[in-house]
Amino acid sequence: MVFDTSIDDKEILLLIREGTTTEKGFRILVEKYQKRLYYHIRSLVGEHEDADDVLQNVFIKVFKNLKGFEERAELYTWLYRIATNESFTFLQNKKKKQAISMDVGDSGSVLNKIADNYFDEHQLQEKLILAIERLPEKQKAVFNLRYYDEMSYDEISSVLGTSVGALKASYHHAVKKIEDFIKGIEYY
Amino acid sequence: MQKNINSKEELEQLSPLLNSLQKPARPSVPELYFEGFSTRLFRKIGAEADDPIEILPKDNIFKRIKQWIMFPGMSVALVVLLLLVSTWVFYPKFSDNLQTSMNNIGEQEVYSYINENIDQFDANSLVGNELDDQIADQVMHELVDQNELMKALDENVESIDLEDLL
Repeated sequence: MVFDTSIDDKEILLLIREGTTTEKGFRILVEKYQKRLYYHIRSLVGEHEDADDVLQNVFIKVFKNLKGFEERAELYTWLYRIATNESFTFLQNKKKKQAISMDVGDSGSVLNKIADNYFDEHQLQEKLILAIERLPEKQKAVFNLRYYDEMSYDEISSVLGTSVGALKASYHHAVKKIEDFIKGIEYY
Repeated sequence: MQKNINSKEELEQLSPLLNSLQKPARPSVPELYFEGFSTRLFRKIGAEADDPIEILPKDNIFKRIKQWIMFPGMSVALVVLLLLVSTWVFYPKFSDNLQTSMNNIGEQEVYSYINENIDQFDANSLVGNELDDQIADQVMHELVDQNELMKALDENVESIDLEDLL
């Protein structure tokens, strides 16, 4: 069944809160946000399988907590916040497991894997992807939300719980790092 | 979603090089991934809802009991409870048995036991309390002739040191 994903978030919330249309409302919500959240998560965790697991966990959390969602924040920034937190938690757990097993591959191979997943022939774009991947987790989240999702700083602030000033500084610094990385590879 | 109209301009100011690059395409996903996602998701949610009872593994139960017992306040309470229960269960039987045993012993048997073992009793313990004094008085009245007693005292009064009596 195909649902109308152009429905306003407030209408979706009404559907979910009305007992007889809860499932329908939630299905619309999933259809509407699955791609955006998937790519946001994927940009943070890297692999498709990991992104799939995290995305499912995100929607399960949303499903369990949506009835208690207070509309102080926008629904979509709330969804992004959950997705971001789940991704960070996943990455922390993954790091712990890797530290225990001592079976960590070199970071280059991880970056190459990620680069292989992108269908872009332009070499500079591949370098751009590698440069983004090298950013620290939180800075990467800020950069992706601003660069790919084109969120305003206020929206990013709502997602990450960080002040607008700090976000601006973080984004500017990330852009500088990426540019330096691309130039460095270009020159050498 | 509210788009930020200045993001492009901001990037142009910050890094003309980065701004000139086309944004990388999104990473590839398996075919029909998004089409089947909600179905798989709801199957998973349904499976979790069908299995609400958490069955704890055996070692987990023992671990919990161990933790419970190791809790200081709980272990003290447990010891006190055990003492109370054991007292309640065993004490009446013990006192009943003692009483029954005492009832089965004949009077003559008691006197012969005392006579045979009189040397082993501590004199202080015999006169140590009020009950012993009463028994001693009774024995004195019943067994010792009062005239003989007075006579013996008169005969031996001179040999008793007055200080010892005081």
